[in-house]
Order: sequence, then structure tokens, then C-alpha cells
Amino acid sequence: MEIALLHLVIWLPALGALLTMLLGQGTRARGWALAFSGLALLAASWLYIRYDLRASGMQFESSFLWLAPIGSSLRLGVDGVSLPLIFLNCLLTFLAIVISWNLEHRPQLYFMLLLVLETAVSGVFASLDLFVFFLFWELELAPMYLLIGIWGGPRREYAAMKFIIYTVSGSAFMLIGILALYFFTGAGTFDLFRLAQGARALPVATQVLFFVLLYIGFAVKVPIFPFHTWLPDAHVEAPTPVSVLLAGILLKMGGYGLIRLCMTILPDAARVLVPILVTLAVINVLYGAAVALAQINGDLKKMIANSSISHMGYVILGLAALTSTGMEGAVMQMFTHGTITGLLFMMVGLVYDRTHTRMIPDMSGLAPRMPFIATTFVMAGLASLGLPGMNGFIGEFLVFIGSYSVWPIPTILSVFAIVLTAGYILWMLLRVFFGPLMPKWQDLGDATPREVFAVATLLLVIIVVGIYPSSVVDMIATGVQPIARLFA
Amino acid sequence: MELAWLVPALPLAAFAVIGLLTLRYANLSSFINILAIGGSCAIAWMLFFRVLGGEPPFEQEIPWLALNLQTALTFGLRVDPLSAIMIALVTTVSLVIQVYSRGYLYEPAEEGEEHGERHGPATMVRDSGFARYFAFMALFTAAMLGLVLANNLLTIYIFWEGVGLGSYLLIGFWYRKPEAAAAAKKAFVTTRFGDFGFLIGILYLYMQTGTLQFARLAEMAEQGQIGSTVLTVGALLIFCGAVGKSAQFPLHVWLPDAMEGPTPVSALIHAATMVAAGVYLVARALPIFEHAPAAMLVVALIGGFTAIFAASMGLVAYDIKRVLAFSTISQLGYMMLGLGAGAIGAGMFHLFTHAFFKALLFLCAGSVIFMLHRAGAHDPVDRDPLDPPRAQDIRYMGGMWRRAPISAITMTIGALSLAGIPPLAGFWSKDDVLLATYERASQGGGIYWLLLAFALATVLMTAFYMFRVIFMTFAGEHRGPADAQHIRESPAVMTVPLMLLALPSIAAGLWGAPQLGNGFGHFLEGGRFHSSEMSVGLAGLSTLLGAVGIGLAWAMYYRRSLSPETMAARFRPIYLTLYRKYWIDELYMWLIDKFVVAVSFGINWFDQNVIDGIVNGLANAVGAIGNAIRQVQTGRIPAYALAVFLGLTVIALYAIVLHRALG
Amino acid sequence: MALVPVGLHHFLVLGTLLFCIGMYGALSRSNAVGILLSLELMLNGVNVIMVAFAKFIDTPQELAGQVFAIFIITVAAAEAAVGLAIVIGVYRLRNTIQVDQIDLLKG
Repeated sequence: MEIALLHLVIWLPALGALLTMLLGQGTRARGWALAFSGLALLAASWLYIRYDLRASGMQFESSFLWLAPIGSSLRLGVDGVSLPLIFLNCLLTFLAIVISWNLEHRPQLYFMLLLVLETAVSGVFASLDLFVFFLFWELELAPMYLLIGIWGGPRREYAAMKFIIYTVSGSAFMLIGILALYFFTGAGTFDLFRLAQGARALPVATQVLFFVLLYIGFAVKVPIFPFHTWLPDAHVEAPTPVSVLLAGILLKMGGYGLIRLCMTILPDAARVLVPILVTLAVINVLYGAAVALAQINGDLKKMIANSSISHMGYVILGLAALTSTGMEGAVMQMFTHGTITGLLFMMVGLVYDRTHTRMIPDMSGLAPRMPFIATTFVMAGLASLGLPGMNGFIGEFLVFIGSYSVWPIPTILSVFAIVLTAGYILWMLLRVFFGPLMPKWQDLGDATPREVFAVATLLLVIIVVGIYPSSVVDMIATGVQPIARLFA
Repeated sequence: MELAWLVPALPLAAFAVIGLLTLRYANLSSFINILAIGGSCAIAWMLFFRVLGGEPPFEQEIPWLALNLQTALTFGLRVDPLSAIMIALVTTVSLVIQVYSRGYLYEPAEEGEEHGERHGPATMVRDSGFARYFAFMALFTAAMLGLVLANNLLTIYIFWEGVGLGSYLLIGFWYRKPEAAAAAKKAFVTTRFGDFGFLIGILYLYMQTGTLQFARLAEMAEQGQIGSTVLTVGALLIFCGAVGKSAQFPLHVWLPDAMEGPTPVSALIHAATMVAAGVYLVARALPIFEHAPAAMLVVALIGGFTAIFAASMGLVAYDIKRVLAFSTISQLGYMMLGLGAGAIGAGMFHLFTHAFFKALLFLCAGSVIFMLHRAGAHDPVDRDPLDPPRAQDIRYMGGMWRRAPISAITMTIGALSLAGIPPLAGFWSKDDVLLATYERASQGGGIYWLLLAFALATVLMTAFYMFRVIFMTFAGEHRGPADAQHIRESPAVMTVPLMLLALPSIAAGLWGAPQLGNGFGHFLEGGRFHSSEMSVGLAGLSTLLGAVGIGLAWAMYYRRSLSPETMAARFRPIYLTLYRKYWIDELYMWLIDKFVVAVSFGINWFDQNVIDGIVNGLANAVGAIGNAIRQVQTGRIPAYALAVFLGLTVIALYAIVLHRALG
Repeated sequence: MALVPVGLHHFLVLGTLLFCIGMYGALSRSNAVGILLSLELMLNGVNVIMVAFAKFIDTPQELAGQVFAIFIITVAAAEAAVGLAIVIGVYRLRNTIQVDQIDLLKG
């Protein structure tokens, strides 16, 4: 039963996708999608509860050899690093389905793709076999490409194409890296841990090369400067629920890959390359914040997208510290950023649904017309700027405290971003919600109960984790412990 | 003592209950708020008396944030004399302000009048955000209480930011006014600058010492386990946070703008919460500062300079609330000066008395504004944006003495106390600060003599600008747009709090009076109390300066024997510099505009054109190559057939040649 | 002038000539029907060579060359049928069978 649980989390959405395709004509699709993503969320929550905090290493493991000639097994398992992310994935997909409820354009295909995406992402986080990992990784691309390309905004084709070409180029490097590991270690298997053992014996220069190959694939996904420009375009064009998933969970695949593949398999290379990683992290943090600030006369969604780049920089900073606290902070930052930025994109979507514009100068004084949206948008913004009591602070603080002892100057530079973030978030809120109401927005309405449900759920997670961080941090601590020990 | 956690928890719960459940019920919400703060006030006083009775410091903590599997940072509270005084003070002042707010939070009904055309008295209706206001007030109070009870730097930082949040929400309470919303943002971002240093200070101290507990840090500093560089750097970084929150130079710019919030909010911000947080933080961390003389000097310098700097701007301000705001900045400078001189008792004592009389002054100002609004004060359409609203502009007041005696008397009490006239509360605490500075100076600190001079000059200026306000508001004839016939005293729900606050503004100083044994200092500093006897000369000098200030104000604004207009014209450059607040706002705006924003736009341009340019350039290059190659694909079958033929011929020739070559 | 007996070479030259004429036609004609005719010519050139080789080199029992020739004739017939059908289809669609005007595959 316990072992089946993880399989349930991964395969239930796939089954749902199948059923949606067969039985979910028209708007019936949303019912199927909601049911199956709900079941997956339940299974994920149960998995979360059943996770043993005292044990370290993988839990709920299962394995069966499915491609004997190349030695690849369907080996799945979770630890404190992957489980919070799987839970986040199930939660965000469920909420994305909730907020897409009234979609009219080709709902059957849409909901099916969302479910396929959920399976793919959960699969990435749970696979312990690099071949399977890569399959899931690539499986995620097709639904995302179509979701942006079919349901996106006016420049959707450009954005979808940019997304897919960037990611596929990245994964080409990653595939070379995986194959190189497979052949050079001579382990005859794609098993993560056996590859890790094998890789120890390789010369450091070779390890560095492999690290870089894998890194490119993940850096595109995170995204790390200078591979980041697909993200704002994809976000601006993607429909709201897809943006929620893209920022909320897909970016985390990159960070996860870095810690699970790069750092676990090639720790010696990681030690060599961290100065570069730290530099890139600081650039990400400040550069993303600056570009976000520059959107103050522009697109709301672009601002949030660039703030994502900035906040994902903290993940890299935490990882590059190579300390258990830093890594814990990095994973926590991934989790918290997923909830916060998911909420922010949801809020932008709610505003856009009403005003049909995302240009910040076109809006003013919306708060009295939509008190709930304004209140929650402010709360999401405060969470994003790292206000204690919300979970964003936990991730950032752990990253800072983990990295300060190793990288004081880069950490100070990154901490400065909290001022910049406060600047652009509050400035944006000021211009959109406060001040005098423009006459043309006189007739806007507030959120519907369905939207309130989605927003309140995420907000609840943000606040509960912010006040009681142990609910997530303790689990992450067990997960990063074995990885941090590699660097002790 | 185990009940201490309830002190912040009750208002926090009130915030949650109002925010989630009773937002539609204005009266109920305000009662929930008052009940919660009243409850925590009762507990706070009980704790205070138990600490006063000699109970040892009480600490309680829970593990909160696991750094890894072995260590966790804690979330904890500490009840000792310092925090006991603060919780009693904060809850009391806050409670009085909450009650007052129930009367204050009314606005003139908008009966379809055009802006600036209304005359005569207005009907006052309850503000539409009544319940929201009380929710935010509860949150603000809770955060401040959590802050003063915190026993480690992480906990204090959490509530520190919570205070920032509360001020953001309350300053921007009337968010439809662009100025209010902008002031809220300015307050948050400016204090965040300070918090940036504070947070780094926390990281730095944790890395250097491995602990964030105040008690442990004090112990380590005491025993010399922390190097002096570490102490100095750590103390200065922590002080950054205090500079931001306590609006010290150069981060003082947010406080005058924060006057856009409702007046009771200003009272709370200026008296017991927010700005007091910075002073409290320095007092709490004083063991670290004490072993870092350089840091102490910086604290004293910033404090002393801010005191005179802010007071000078207060001399010419016309907005009744802004005068008080400058006075707050200036008085906070005093407190910092006291702490920087090494006297925790002096700094905290001034914080303690200041809380009462500054809350009183703000509530009186609020009462005046309320009365003027009710009497129909309105702004002309073409009001100069640099001028305050008419209901707050002291040039358009006057003559309210007879019509509002309670507000007038209580405000005069507050002003006398602030001016440091014996035997009111402000006299004792201000004297304590002066004395501490004097002692520090006579122990051979040359620069402290200068600071003492600053402090004495500030006494004169303070007395002058306060009585300038008093005379312009209450004396003479009414000069404003309000209908003088309809100005009448505020309701009892507002005047009773004024009278309640007037009592400690008169008498609270006696607790720290040297003649009566300086109970305050002994309580706070216990065995290591070092302040000596009162210096009669210093006290006399400061009282004299205060009296001169009052006399000058009397001469200029009551007797009119010296025309302020002539003075302003004669010293126009100075007047303008002061009136425009030394153009510091303009300087910062310029820096932000020309530096931060410009750099951001530059980076954005780089992103769009260089990074994305390379990406799109690559894509375009691939496209162009494809375009070139596809010309081969003519689509005409004979061409393809010819290509096939030529290809086959080449292959055939190659095969023959190869055949030959291989023999 | 002595009569040279007709031998393998003659047939090969004839077949090659036929093939080359067909090839030239296939490449140079712009009329689709002409191209089809030229293709027939090429195939027949091959047929001649096939049969000639079978006659002069193989034993009489082996009929591979003849069989191939007949096979090619059959297939050529089918090919011509299909090709002409396509040509008719193209003509109906575009009112021309000039192949240089039919360039939908142009890149």
C-alpha cells in the first residue's frame, strides 16, 4: 500500500488524462480533470503525512527493470527534497484546474494536457533512474508547448516556440551529460546512486565537463542568467493557470535537477564550480529585480516573471553554499516561491480577467472595486518581498544564513534585493490598486467564490508555513542531509 | 509569568477575528479590538508589577526554524524590566488610542457637494474602513508587543517587519488618497533600507558568535568572548535597522510623510510603537554596543545631529501634525543620544515619558483637526501642493481656546512637558539625557561637548516650535475656512483619553526624578546604575532655554511684537531650506530616479536588446541559412530529375574510378 | 565490306542510345506527357539490354533477363496509367501540364 501510494500520485493524473480523452467531451472534461487531480492531491497529502521524518534517504521506493538491454529500471522514490515539490505540483495543478473551470476553447484537450503535465512533473521529481528522469523531463515539454501555443495570448506562437527551442536545446546537453555518465562510469545502469558511485572515480576535469553539460539543461529551466529570456515571453503569453504552473512548479525542476543530479552525482565538480554558480546567482537576484523594477510602466505579468528570475537566484545561492542550511534554504525557497509566485500569477490573472489589460499605467485605484483581490494581491506581494509571517521569509532567511558563512559578499549583495523587491512590489500595488479610481473601471467586480477558494487555499499554505515552518523545513532537512554530507 | 505570550497573542487574535469574521460590523470590531488590547494591557501591568516586585527575568522559547537536523533557531520571549516597562507602556497608550479612535474615525459626509464649495458645519459619518482600521491597529499593536518581548534577534526581526507592515497598512489607510498610498510605500521602503543592514547584522552576528539570544550575546560580550571588531560591526549593522525604524538621519524622510495616516495612527506610531522600536532595539542590544565605543559614538552622533536637525525643520512647518512629526524625530534623536552616551536609563526614560506626552499631543492635534472638519473646514481647489490641508494648517486656525478648552489645556500640558518645563514629565527625562551626555563629555569625549550643545540648542527650538503651534492654534481669532461658530469641543470618547494621557504627561517623570530616588533607573539597570545626582546647573540652564523658547514664540505669535513674516523674508534662504526640509526628499528622489530607476531601465534595455538580441539573432541566423539553402528546392520536377541524373553520374564515375584504382 | 555478325555490343549500344534519348527527353521536356513518354523510352532501353544479356551470356535455360523485361513492361504499363491519371488530375486542378509551372514543392 505504502509503495503504491507514490505510484498513485504519479499515474492517477495519467489515467485521468486517458479518461478525459475518451469520455470528457466538451466541458465534461473539467469534471474528470478535477476529480483525478483531486485524487492525486489526496494521495500526495497522504504521502506527505506518512513520510517518516526520522529516517533519511529515499522512502516509498519501488523499482522494476523495464529496459534490460540498457539497464534502465523504473525506479521511483521520494525524500525530503522531492516530496514537498511533488505535493506542490499536485496542489498547484488542482488549483490551476479550479481556476480554468470556465474555459471555453477546446476544454477536452486543455484539461488532458494539464493532467499529462502533472504526471510528467511528479515523475521528474520521483525518478531515481536518469533514463526515466529524462523521459519524464521531455514528457513535460509537449503539454507545455501546446498549452502556451493554443491557449496563449497574441504572440503565443513566438513564445511557445522560444520556450520549446530553449528547453530542448538545454535538454540536448543534459542528454549528452546523462549518456556520458552512463558510458564513462561503465556502470551499465542509469541508476542515480550507482552512477554517483561510479562518477567518484572519474578525473575531476571530466566531472566538471559532465557537470556543465547537465547544468546547461537545468540552467535553462531555472532559469539562470543568461538563459532566462524565454521566461518573460512565455509568461506574458501563457494563460493564467499555465503561468501558475510554469512559475510555480516547472522552474523548480531546474533547481531540483541541480541538487539531485549535478550535486549528488558530481560533488567534486560542484566544489570546483561554485564560485561561478555564486556569481550567476547574484546576477540572477539583482538583475531579475532590476528588470522587474523597469516594468513599472509596463506589463504586470512581465514584472512578476522577472521577480521569479530574481527569487530563483536565491535557490542557486543556497545551493552554491554547499552547506546543509543553504541547501535546505534552497529547497525551501523553491517550495515557498512556488506557492507565492503561483498566487501572484493567479492574482494577475484575476485582475486581467476583469480589466483585460495588464499594463500597469492603465490601472489605478482598483482596490475599492475588488476588495478581496486587492487584499490578497497585497498579501501575495508582501509574501514575495519576504515579510516574516509569510513563507517567503523562511526560504530567504535560510538561504542567507546558510550562504553568509561561506559567501559573505555575494550574500550581502543578494540581501540588498529585499529592498529592491519591496520597491517594485509596493510601487506596483500602489499604482494598480491605490489612488483615485479611473472612471473606466467603475463597473468591475470582485472574485467569484471559485476564485476565492483557489486564492485562499494558496494563501493558507503561505501563512501556515510562514508561521509554522517546521511543517516543511523538517522534512527538507532530512532530505538535504545526505547531500550536504558529500560536501562536509 | 507564563501568561506573557498572551500579551501579543490577544491583539493578534483580534486582528484575525476582525479580518476574517467581523469586517462588516464596525462597532463589534472596535469592541473586539478594545477588549483584546484591554486584556493584554491588564496582563502587561500584572507582569510589570511582578517584575517590579523583584521577580527574576523570565524566558520562554520554542524551537522554530531548523537550520539542519542538529540545530534550530528559536522563537522566544523574555520578560525583564526593560520589556516589562515597554509592554505596560505600549498596551496602555495603545488602549487609550483605540478608545479615542472610536470617536475620531468619522468623516464629513459627502452630501453631493463639490470639492471646496461646502460651507458651514458638516455631518460626520463613520469612516467606511472603520472595522479594517481596528483590525490593522490590533495587528500593529501585536507586532510591537511581540517585538518588545522578543528574546532573540530573529524573533525581534520577525515582529520588526510586522511593525513595518502595520505602519504600511495604517499610513496607507486612506488609500484612495494618492499621497497616503505613496507615504505608506515610502515608509516601508525607507525602513527596509535600514532592515537590510539589520538583517545582515543578524547574519553576521550569528556567523561570528553562533547565537542570536540577547542574553547569551550580552554574556559573551561581557566576558570578552567576542572580538571588538565583531562587536563594532555587529552593533553598527543593528543600528542601521534602528535608524530606519526610528527615523534618524539620513532615513528620517518617511516620518513627516507618514502624517497622511489617520491622526490616532500617528499618535500610536510616534508614541509607543514603530519609532520607539528602533530605540528599544538599541537599548535591548546595548550590551553589544557598550563594548564597542566606536558604535556608541556613532549612535550618539546620529542621535545628537538628528535632534537638532529635525527640530530646525519643525520651526517653520505649518502642518500641525508635521510639526509634531519633526518633534518626534528630534526627540528620538535625544533618546539615541542618551543611549549613545551609555545611559540606557536616560534613553529609555525619555522614551517612556515621551510616549505619554507625544501620544497626548497627537491626540490633541487630532481633536483639533476633527473639530475643524466638523465645523466645515475645506480645501480650496487651488491649494498649493506644498501646503498642508486647511484643517491641519496652523495658519488657518486660531481662537480655539475658548471653544475647545479641554483640548487646549491638555495640549498645552503636552507642549510644556515636551518643552521640558519642570516639574512635568518631559523635564525629568530630558534632563536625564542631558546629564548623561554631560557626564560622558566630562569623561573626556570632546565630541560629546558638541553633542551637548546640540541638545541644549534643541531644547530652545523645541519650546519655540511647540508654543508656536499652541499660540497659532488656540490664541487669537479664528482665521480658517471653518465656521467659527460651529467649532465645539470633541465628544467625550475623545476628550477623556486626552485627560487620561495628561496625567502621566505631568507626573510620569517623578518615577525617574533623582530627588525621589530615580526608581526608573534603578529598576531598569539594577545594580549597575551609574547616573549620579541631578546637576542643578544643567537643569536650570535647560529650563531657562525652554522658557526663552516659549517667550520667543509668545512674542512672535501672540504679541506679534516680532513679525514672523518679516523674519522669514529677512532670512529667506534659511527659511526656504528649512521649509523644504533641506531638499533631502528631492535629493533622494533624484538619486532614485537617476540612479536606481535609470540603472534598472538600462539593464532592461540590455536584457531586451543584448541578451534577447543574441537569442533572437541566433534564431534569425538559423532562419537565414535555411532561407539561403532552400533556394535549391525549386519545386520543378525536371530540375530534380537533372539533379538525380547528375548525382548518379558522379556516383557512377566514382565507382568506375574506384574500381580501376582497386584494380 | 564484311558483314559483322550482330553481337552483344550492338544491342548494348542500341539500348544505351534509347536510354540516353529517353533521359534527354525526361530532363528537357516541359510537357508532363512528353516526360512520361521519355520515361517509357528509358525503360525500353533497359529492356533491350536485359534481353541482350540474357541472350548472349546466360544459358538458354535461364530466363532471368526476359522475365525482368516482361516485369518491367508490366510495371511500366501500370506506371504510365498512374502517371497519366496524375497528369489528368493536375490538368484539372491547374489547367496546365507544363511541369515548370507546377512548383508547389518550392521551398
